[in-house]
Amino acid sequence: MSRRDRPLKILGFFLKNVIPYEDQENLAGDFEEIYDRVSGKRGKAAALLWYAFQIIKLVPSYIKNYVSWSVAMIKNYLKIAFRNIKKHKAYSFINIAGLAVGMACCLLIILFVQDELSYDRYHEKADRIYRLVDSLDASGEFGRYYALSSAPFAPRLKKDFPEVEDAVRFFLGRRRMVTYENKKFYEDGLIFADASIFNIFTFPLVKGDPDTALEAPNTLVISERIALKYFGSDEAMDKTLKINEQEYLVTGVMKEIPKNSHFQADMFASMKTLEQIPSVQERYFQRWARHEFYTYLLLRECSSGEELEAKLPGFIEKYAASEIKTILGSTLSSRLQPLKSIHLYSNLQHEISPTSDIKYVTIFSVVALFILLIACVNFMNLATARSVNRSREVGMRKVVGARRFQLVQQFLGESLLFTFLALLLALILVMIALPLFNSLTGKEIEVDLLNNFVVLESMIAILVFVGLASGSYPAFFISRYQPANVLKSTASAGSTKSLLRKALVVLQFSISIVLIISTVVVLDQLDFLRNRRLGFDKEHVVVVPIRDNAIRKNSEGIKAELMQNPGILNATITIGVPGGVVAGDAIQLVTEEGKKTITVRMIYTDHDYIKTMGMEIVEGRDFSKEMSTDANEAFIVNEAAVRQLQLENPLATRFEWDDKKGRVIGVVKDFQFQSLREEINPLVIHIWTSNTYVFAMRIRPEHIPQTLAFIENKWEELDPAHPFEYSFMDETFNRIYRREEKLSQIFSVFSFLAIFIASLGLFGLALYMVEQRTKEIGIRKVLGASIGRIFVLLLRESALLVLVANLFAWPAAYFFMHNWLQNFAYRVSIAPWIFVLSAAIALVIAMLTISFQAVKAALADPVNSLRYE
Amino acid sequence: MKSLTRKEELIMLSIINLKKNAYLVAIVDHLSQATGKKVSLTSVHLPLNRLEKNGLIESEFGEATAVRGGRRKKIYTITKLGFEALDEHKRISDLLWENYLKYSSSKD
Repeated sequence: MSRRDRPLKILGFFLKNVIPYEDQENLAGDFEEIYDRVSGKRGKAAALLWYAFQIIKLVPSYIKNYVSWSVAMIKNYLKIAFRNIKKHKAYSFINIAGLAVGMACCLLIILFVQDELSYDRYHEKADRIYRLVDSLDASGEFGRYYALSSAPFAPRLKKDFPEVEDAVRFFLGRRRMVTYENKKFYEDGLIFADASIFNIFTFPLVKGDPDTALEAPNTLVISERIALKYFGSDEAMDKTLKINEQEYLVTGVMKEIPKNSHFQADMFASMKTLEQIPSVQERYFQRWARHEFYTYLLLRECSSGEELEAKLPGFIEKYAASEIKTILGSTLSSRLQPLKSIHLYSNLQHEISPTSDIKYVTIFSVVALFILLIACVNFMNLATARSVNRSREVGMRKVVGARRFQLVQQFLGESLLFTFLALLLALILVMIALPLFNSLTGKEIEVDLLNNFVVLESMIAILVFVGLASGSYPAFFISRYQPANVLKSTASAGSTKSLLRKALVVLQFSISIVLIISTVVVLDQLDFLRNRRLGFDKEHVVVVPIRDNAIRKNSEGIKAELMQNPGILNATITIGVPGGVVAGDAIQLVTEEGKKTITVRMIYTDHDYIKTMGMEIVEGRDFSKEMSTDANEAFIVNEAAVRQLQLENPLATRFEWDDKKGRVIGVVKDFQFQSLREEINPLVIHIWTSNTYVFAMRIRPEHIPQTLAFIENKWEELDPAHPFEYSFMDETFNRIYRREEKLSQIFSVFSFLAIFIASLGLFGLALYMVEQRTKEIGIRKVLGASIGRIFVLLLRESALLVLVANLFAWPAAYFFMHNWLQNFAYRVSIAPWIFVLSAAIALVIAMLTISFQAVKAALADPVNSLRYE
Repeated sequence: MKSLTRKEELIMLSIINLKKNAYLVAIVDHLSQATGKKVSLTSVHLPLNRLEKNGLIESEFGEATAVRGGRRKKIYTITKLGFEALDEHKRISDLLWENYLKYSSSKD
């Protein structure tokens, strides 16, 4: 019957799918014959029904068949895979360990990035919170803005703009002594805040009413930690804590502020506390020119920060501009900064606590990916190299009927198995390395795998990606073998692809060398920053904070007493030491055309500052007690001030500041009072001890413990109310570079790991190479080649690859590091020796790796290598 | 050698009877004619497969015919081993039937 009706055709298609391949043709034919017979006897419908029923009857046996065959094949694949792992222990170890280290790096970085990106996101209204930032710099550059703003902004903005739903101001309490009964500690985390804080930020109160907790003066909300510390298990509410000399009523207890916040605080005191003091009210809360407050705005839904920002210049013109012009002599510009971008994109001056940088997040992510890439390349390389050994297996499988698709399946499955084993190992590595990683990055990351979906998802993504990516090449490559070729000869079918293998090795070493160069440059720059001529002597200066006004008043007497100890060379009282606080202030420059207001950095101190710090006067003279006018009328400027203010005759320059009039008596050689990321700004040093915060003492390098003990004793006499505290100036100064230090540490670790994994790969390749050339080496030895020559023969090729890798690595590394160094005002140049050194390191490591195999091969007895078969 | 089941015996005999046209449907028809009962496809197909696996019968594809939608038949033939098995089967059967014939004829 040549006419075939459509239903039969469709059913025939199903039938074909449920019967075994070898039975297909005749069974289909048999069915059709009976179908025709039935349809002739009982009609077409009945026949179709019969046909369909036959198919349904076949389904169970089909499923049983399918499953049993699949299981059998998977069992076989697994058996072969595990046999291979066992048979080639070194390869398997290199593969799995390399991948595991790469994946562990990746997971750690994912945790790190996840943490960095989570900053301030926990606030329910995070999307609508903005920070007001100000700048007095005409350039309008965002980097010149500072995180601070003045007090009248917040209430005024809230009144004038309906889109501002609420506003809060912070004033940092800095370090204060907290007393409760006999407990007495310094606490750093005090912030004065408006009552609206709990409406804007999500800081849940365990006790107390968030709406009213900070309404009244002298009220305080403390964290659970502080409550536990001072009150133990007692009720904290309505107790009184003494902070410095002021008593506060505890009106609320809040949960700890999460670690991923751009500021930390243990205590919030009410802003009213400060506002109620008349002098403070006048000097701070009514002045647009006093930039001492952090201002956060909560905008209404569906109003944008940009719109409000556009209205700010008009607002400033209306209220603030004239006052700022008169007092500071400059123009103010303000901008709004989304809360969520503060941690990663901000890094303004006067941040509450140091922020991070999206750049570092990117760098780490890229580096982690690179490491994973190196590990994947290892896997591909070794698998392709090894495929030669498995060519006969592939040939056999093809001969007995494996289709190419099945082989691809088998090898992809095998690489997924390897990846899975590596992932398990990686998880263990992450658990082990996490504390170390936390101390390296200064974070407190915990792994809670079951609840961390991002990590779970990325683990699965890594598994699939790495498994397929690194398995795909060998899978498709191996499955292409022609069975006739691979079964016929012993010739290695894989040798044709060695070019790709070489390219991959070059890639691995290029990445490793880039990382090594980067590490060396970062270390070099850091070393340069630490040891650059700072313009002062940062060693052996003890800094003691002043807590009692009596010390300030009697500073000369105290200095005289201290100097009696031979261990103390000099002492001075000052607003701050380099690396610490240096105030920005406005000063009037008196010229023939009239007075000009300029903003400079100012150091308020006494006569002995320059001596104590070990600074150098290049023109004029230092402050002197013999000149009675110095105490009020003398200014010392730095060289940067001379340059930037274009003082032709510095010593004739006249300044007016506050109610003091005077002239410049000396020029101090430029010294680095801030981080070396920034250029040295104009600076004026002036004698004024009322606004000083620290006592700095230069001590002899000998007998430091005794000298410190002496100072401590003295201090306990002078200020028995406060516990003694001190720091060394060099430590404080070095802390500025903590971020760079962390970067260099992380880079060191990563570049070590990268080169470790790359070497693992090279080790594996060497193992393979030597195995392939066993006979050749045997013959060469028989013919009289020396051990040395064979050694060189084996090393030559890999050495060449590593050298070629430099060609790619050098320009890339130069490009990256050149860019990074632009962040610094003072930087090293990238010296050629760094490139040579890095190349040498990579080469030596590679050679050592291979030598292990090469020596073994070169020493082997040719009798053994030629006898096999 | 494993002895043949009744079903296998009948199928093998059918194959012999059908000569060069012993394919599944034909065997089924032949058996249902001979027994006068309906014989299902599966009840023949499975023993056929088993017999082939045991090497008692073998198969080859015949000519394509229009009746079957152009599909070829799978024609079965008895192998040497198959004949030996049948011989053995017949020998035992004959031996056991002999007494029955004597008995039943003596009853007449």
